[in-house]
Amino acid sequence: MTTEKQYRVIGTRPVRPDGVDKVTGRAVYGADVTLPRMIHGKILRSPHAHARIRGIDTREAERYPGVLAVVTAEDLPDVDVVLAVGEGGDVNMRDASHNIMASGKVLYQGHAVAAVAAVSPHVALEALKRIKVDYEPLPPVLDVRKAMAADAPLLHEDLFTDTMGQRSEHPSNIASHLIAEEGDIEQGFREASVVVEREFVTHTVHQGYIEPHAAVAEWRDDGQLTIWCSTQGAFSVREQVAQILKHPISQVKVVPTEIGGGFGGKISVYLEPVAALLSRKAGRPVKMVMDRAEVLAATGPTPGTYMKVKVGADAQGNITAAHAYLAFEAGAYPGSPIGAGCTTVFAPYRLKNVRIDGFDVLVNKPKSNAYRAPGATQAEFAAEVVMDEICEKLGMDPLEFRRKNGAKEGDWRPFGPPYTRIGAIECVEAAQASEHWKTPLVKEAGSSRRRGRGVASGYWMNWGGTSSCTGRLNPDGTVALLEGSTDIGGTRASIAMQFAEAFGIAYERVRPQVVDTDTVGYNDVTGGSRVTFGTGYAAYALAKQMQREIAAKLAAIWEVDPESVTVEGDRYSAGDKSVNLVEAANLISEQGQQVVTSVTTTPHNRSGAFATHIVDVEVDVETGKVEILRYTAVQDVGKAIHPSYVEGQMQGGVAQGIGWALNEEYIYDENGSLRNASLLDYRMPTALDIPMIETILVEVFNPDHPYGVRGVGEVPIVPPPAAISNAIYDAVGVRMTTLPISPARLCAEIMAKNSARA
Amino acid sequence: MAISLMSGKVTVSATVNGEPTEWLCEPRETLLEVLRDRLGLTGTKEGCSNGNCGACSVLLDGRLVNSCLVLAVETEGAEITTVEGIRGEKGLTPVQRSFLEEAALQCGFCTPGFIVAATALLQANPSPTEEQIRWWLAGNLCRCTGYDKIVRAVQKAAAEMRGEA
Amino acid sequence: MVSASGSTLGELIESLDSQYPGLKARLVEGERLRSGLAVFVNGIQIPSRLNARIAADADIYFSPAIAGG
Ligand code: FES
Ligand code: FES
Repeated sequence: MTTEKQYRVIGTRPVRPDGVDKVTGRAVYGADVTLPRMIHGKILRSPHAHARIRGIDTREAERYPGVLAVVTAEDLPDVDVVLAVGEGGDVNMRDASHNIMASGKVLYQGHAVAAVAAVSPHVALEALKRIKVDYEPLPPVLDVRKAMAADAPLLHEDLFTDTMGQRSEHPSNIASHLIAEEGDIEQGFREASVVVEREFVTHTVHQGYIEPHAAVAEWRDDGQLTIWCSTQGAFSVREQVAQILKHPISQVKVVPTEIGGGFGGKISVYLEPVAALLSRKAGRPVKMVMDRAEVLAATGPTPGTYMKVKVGADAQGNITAAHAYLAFEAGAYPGSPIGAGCTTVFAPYRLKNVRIDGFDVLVNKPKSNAYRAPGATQAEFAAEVVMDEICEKLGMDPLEFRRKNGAKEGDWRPFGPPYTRIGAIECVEAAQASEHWKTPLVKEAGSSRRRGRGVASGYWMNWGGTSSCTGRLNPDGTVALLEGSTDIGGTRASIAMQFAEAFGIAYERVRPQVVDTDTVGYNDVTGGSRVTFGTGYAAYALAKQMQREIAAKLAAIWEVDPESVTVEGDRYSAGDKSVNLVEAANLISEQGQQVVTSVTTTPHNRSGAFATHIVDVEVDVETGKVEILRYTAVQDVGKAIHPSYVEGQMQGGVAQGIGWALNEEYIYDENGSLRNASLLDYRMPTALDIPMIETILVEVFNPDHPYGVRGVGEVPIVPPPAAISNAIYDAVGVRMTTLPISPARLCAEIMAKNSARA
Repeated sequence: MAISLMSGKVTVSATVNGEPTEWLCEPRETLLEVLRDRLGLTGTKEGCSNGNCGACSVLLDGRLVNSCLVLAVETEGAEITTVEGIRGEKGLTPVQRSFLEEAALQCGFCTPGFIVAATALLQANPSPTEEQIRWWLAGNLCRCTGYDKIVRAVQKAAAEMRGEA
Repeated sequence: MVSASGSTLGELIESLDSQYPGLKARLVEGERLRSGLAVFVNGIQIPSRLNARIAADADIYFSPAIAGG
């Protein structure tokens, strides 16, 4: 622990720089971009979950009045490169290309097969109806366990299982099998006095950002391609588009618009390369905007799973062994967040004997994608429900159990070196000390209502990544701060605050802007809870670098040794000379010089974020409806730069976790057709469904960041499903092991329990 | 309302954000499409096009509606207020200001809809309870904030408008 | 935990392979480290390249690269 520093800016709650534009409707999001001569693109999507494409006849659509271009997979080049997309996830660009435009086979309902650009979206939609696709339907496989069976229909005949670098003999829907092992679980289970083993099922859910995907592409005759889009990572879009289209990266410029939520779902490209191809063919800018049904059916939701978790503990409440079997649905192409599931499943605990098996399994559903702490919510749901049952069997307080077994610095973790300084135990202790935990819950609530309390912990590893920033000192002593990290939740503020703190000026004197890929150095995506950490780190480095440059330039003017120039706030002095920033800027510009500085940093981020949540629920035993009465989220945030936005991340994550726990799921029929592709039937929480969410910020300094920042965005989604399931058990005595815990599922379990008793 | 037989398009006149406005549109076009694509008022957002998200909220003759569920031709003679038309004497209204001060937005995509809906709420009920605020805003989805800070921002704006703050 | 010698990652893997035949095939694909493999040196992830220089007494850790969001 470092001693608490006094900050001027950090820890305050200023208004965000982009705020006024966002409350007045002036901010420009993806679908708000309009260019002269712009036309509109629409995509034809497969009605089948699995089928061979025997032929596509686009002639009639091409002749349709108002149509300017039609494309299919034939227009895309063959590619075979592996690219790290997003947070270290390797994606084969061939798969990415086939995902945005099916080639040979369609692998899920909603898979794109052709696209049209026309003078209006309505005309484009009319033209789509005139494209004839000859499909040979194939049997779909929708369930992860069925897909793993040896006789399952194969999505890709050329896919083999990779087991820690070893390739299977026969093709399979299992793309990979990860194994993490430590100690001896057989021995560990022998030492246990209680052992709990349970199976879990979770269903596909969507990130549910309110802004549908949108992109505008303009391909000029000299090959220059400019793309305006709503994305978590402009540089990643540039790379993906360049690879998929085999177009020189120097000729691709991506202009990120404001982004209406992403949560991991706006990293992979869907529309951008298609809009670019249509634009090339039509010779005009093309705008493409998805409708909500397309967003749900054909972007990257996060996987459904089948999981089995077994934990043993001795009579004193020490965990002696833990085993997890996690099978995640990758969707149509490899790449579920199974690795992260394995890393996080038992993360809050110190384990001596453990084995984790993870499977990445293809099914005829859209290619899954990251969703806020991807893979962790599912895996830790399973583990935390089992831990709750262990506590029940031992008669032990669940928070005391988590404190006693809590992971700390130096403890083993899967797929990485041991933990560095983490705050798992501090979170549990803060939860124990909370008002919420200390206030007893009245369990009876009328004849058909029961109340219960549950807790769960969660972990997300966080990411560092590469960030670049450019700073320009203006003549009035303000700084124009150029960043490349798209701002999804107030990061212009949190970056500018760190810059202001380090540079010794007021927050209001920093003017942050998110700019395009030609204007600032490379930035990894806004994801992995990394921006306030990683881009904040770059802003800090930039401030220090600018101070050195200003000092060096003043030293030259003053003809003194640069080392002798001292910086105190915004004042630069050497001997009897002393100027403030405005005077310095003027002195420097009188020499015909300017301070324009760029930095690129890639800090390592070795420690992640832990959280412990407490929830009180009320269950209507007749309808199975669950109401959230009270919710407290405790989280190690390292250092809260802008506490309001930290709380906001926690509250937003909790709300998504509540939706995942109680309502949200993709419902497919047996043919693999999505039955609830609308926001009426895919039901996300409204203001009426959740209470105020109390937040407790624990600050365990992160030694990898100058201000001790930890990423905060992802971990708050992790504990809610388990905490809610545990609270429901406390209320009505049934263990809910399937997500979502919909009224129908809960009612069925309550009835089964009652009839077993009768 | 005049129908041009040549194009099948219709001329509609209405008052938009206080300005008399006239446009040509097809009968199938929604008010949301006309606002965004014909009048350049892109502050009103499209999140679902079928009445489930509230991102397209506008005031139609003072009533809160989802503009994606209104046909543009139905608004002949109507008074329409979009987020661009919500302005206070000194720039931002108390609702807009309190959204900023309370950090009631993250991505900001739902924000225009919430600003319009909250403005309508406080016109109808200057002293709403938390429950009434949640009920009124239940037609507006926000995926980022968990609503906590939105509800607080509305409470704060209400207090300020009642002269309590 | 095993010990091996080498001044680059590639040499280290060669030396490991002589102790545990077949290991190289799991880590290396052609002239490159397998994609999807993460390498940590003294707790810090390094770019996965065979010519990465390794200091004496370093703790090396191989693991599947974990994707996130
Ligand atoms: S766009 Fe109108 S309610 Fe969603
Ligand atoms: S702030 Fe993003 S949807 Fe509400």
